Amino acid sequence: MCIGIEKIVLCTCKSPALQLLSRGLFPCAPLEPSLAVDLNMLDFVQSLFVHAAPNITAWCDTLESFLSARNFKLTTRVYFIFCLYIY
Amino acid sequence: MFAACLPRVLAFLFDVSKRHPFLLSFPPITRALAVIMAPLFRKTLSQPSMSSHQNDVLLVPVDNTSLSRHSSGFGGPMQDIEGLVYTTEGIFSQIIPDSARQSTPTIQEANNQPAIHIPLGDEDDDEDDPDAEKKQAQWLRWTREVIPAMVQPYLSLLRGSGNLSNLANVRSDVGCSGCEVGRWLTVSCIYFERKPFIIILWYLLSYVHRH
Repeated sequence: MCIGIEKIVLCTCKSPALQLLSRGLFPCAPLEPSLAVDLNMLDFVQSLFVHAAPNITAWCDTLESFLSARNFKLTTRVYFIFCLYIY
Repeated sequence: MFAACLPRVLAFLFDVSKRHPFLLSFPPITRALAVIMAPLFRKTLSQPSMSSHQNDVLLVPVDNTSLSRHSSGFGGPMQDIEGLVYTTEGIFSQIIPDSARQSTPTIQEANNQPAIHIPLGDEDDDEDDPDAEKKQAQWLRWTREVIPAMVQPYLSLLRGSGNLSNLANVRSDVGCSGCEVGRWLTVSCIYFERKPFIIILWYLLSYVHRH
């Protein structure tokens, strides 16, 4: 497992949400998403919260510190929570 | 007479099935066993089973349902308590008639609260939330437009990626490489499995985009 952040460039001629979804990413917004999360990660978190007490704050703190240690800055934490919630 | 012989018959059958387990794979034998063993199971349900009510459960278009559920972050009534079913034909709400309901209390009766509320963690009080209308519109947009539009692509993605086990193929599809209709949009993506060739591909794309 290797978690990381990448920036990708999309053309808005087609729905950005559907373009991201077709690449296995879940968007945080339908029209102009600034963050998208891997479906595998959302699936993993969903499964984790079935088997352990759900704690979104703890998960986000862990992810943020994990990425920060690898020189990735998660500036859109709220959007990540939103993705998780919608998924 | 039959009841008296039944234990012996069952003991014999158990002995035979233990010695020759392959006999249980023959449908006539299993059917005969089912007929013999049926009297052993007494009927404990005085009320009709749930299966008899399956035909009573209705799926109605979500626009026709009564309003009693809150959206997240919004205090007003929005949607009926029954679950939503997303299909390619539209969104439906599952309505269970009163005749088919069990005696167990509903969620509203159990909690004595008329709302389902799943906090996002960033709101303090729905009543005082100045963004309630915005959240309501957002919730409506997601539930009625975005998620139904995503159902078909999501199912195609599951099929194409082997239930998300192999996303490398779908991620290699770069899509539109630039046209006059749309504009460029930069999206930060949190990957679960970061593949080196994807990173190189996206770096190349962003380089082309910048120059």
